[in-house]
Amino acid sequence: MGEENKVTLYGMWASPFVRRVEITLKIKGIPYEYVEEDLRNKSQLLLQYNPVHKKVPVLVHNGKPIAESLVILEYIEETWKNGPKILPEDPYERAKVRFWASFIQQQARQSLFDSLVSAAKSSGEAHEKAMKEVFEKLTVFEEGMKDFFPSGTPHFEDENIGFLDIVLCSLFGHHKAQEEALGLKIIDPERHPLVYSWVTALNEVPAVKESLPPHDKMVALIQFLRRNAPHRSSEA
Amino acid sequence: MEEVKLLGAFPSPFTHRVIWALKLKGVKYDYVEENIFNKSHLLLQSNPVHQKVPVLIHGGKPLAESIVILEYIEETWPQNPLFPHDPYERAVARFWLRFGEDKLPAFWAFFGTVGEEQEKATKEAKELLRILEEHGLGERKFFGGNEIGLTDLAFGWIACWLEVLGEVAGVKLLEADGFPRLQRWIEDFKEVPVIKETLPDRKGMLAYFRYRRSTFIGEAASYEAAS
Repeated sequence: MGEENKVTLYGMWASPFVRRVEITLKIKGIPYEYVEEDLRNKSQLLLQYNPVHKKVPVLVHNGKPIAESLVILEYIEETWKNGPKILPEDPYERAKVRFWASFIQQQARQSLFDSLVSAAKSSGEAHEKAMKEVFEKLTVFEEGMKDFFPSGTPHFEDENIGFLDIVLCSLFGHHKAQEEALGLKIIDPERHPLVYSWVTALNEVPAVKESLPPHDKMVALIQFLRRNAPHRSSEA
Repeated sequence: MEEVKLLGAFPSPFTHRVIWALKLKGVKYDYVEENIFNKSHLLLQSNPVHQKVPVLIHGGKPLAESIVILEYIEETWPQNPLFPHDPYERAVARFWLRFGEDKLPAFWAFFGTVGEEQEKATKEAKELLRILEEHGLGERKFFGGNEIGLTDLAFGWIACWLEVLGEVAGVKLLEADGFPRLQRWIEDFKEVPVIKETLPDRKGMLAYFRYRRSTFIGEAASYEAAS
């Protein structure tokens, strides 16, 4: 195999941010080498490739490193022009997708995991308050997404998934594991029917299904994080 | 030619990013100054999620989030490109755009704090500026290379807001010889004709940010006094 198109992904099995890149590489049919990082003992290469954040994922293409999952997704889209597109052609539609991706990213980074953990650790009023915060954010998203799915339930024939699908399923695809580990209902079909049906439909798409972390392993990890790092985000 | 309208606020660095991009590309637009303490119906309707400026309305279609707006402007009006052509260089530019946005609360935490908390926040802000100095700017004249690009516009707040915020909060972040590259970048950035013509009035900014700081620390100061 020539060096012209060497793609290496540095990741961690439980990271939703890494999963986004994996799903994207799969649906575009891009062959790549995967390197699992031990985040408690990061490799020299990782620190060299991502000196600013020292985090996964990092995609290395022909020796050049790219960090930040959403930046990597856009890079993949622009570099491999054959194969399915994950962003709309129209600039306005593309901007809308970027707006919502940024919204989910901000919410997930800042507080979603923290809110969930504090909800899991608390009871009574504090618990109610923490869950209320989570649900409010999901509701804003649910309302915004009605624009994308005017007919209601999303369907994904031909694995035709896009940027926003990838962002969503990377964060919530394993919600059942999150819910089991934290003892909470996060994506409730009654509260957020669109998000629920969307995530469920996405989990049936082969590229997504293949990238889902093993359920029990995930449950164990989340329980560990909950016990040991009450105010840390889940960012790798 | 479809109508372009920008809803903004003069003290907002986010608004200025969009003004600069539109002017650099020679795009005609209508500007509406919003009173952020009394937001217009149009603003609330156009940006229901965040209810903030800037909002760009192109041919009646609204867009919010300044970084999203910048990329939209670049794609819609390709003249005078503000983004590199090469996908890898674009990825580098987007990396810094993302860095700037994600770290913004940390960059500005010094402004809303006092005492020990402010010291800690100031230290963190300086570390972030150090990262920009060494990794972001490096040997380049501008973040965008020889000419300014979207990343420079996104960090435009460092060129004039940082100093104002610092004066109001009683903190000096860019010490004399500590950040030679960033200092040089600030001078070069402010000399770009479009930027020079549109920098917000310093007196107005001082007044506005003094007011904002007083609302932030009113509580903090009285808590400090009580403890």
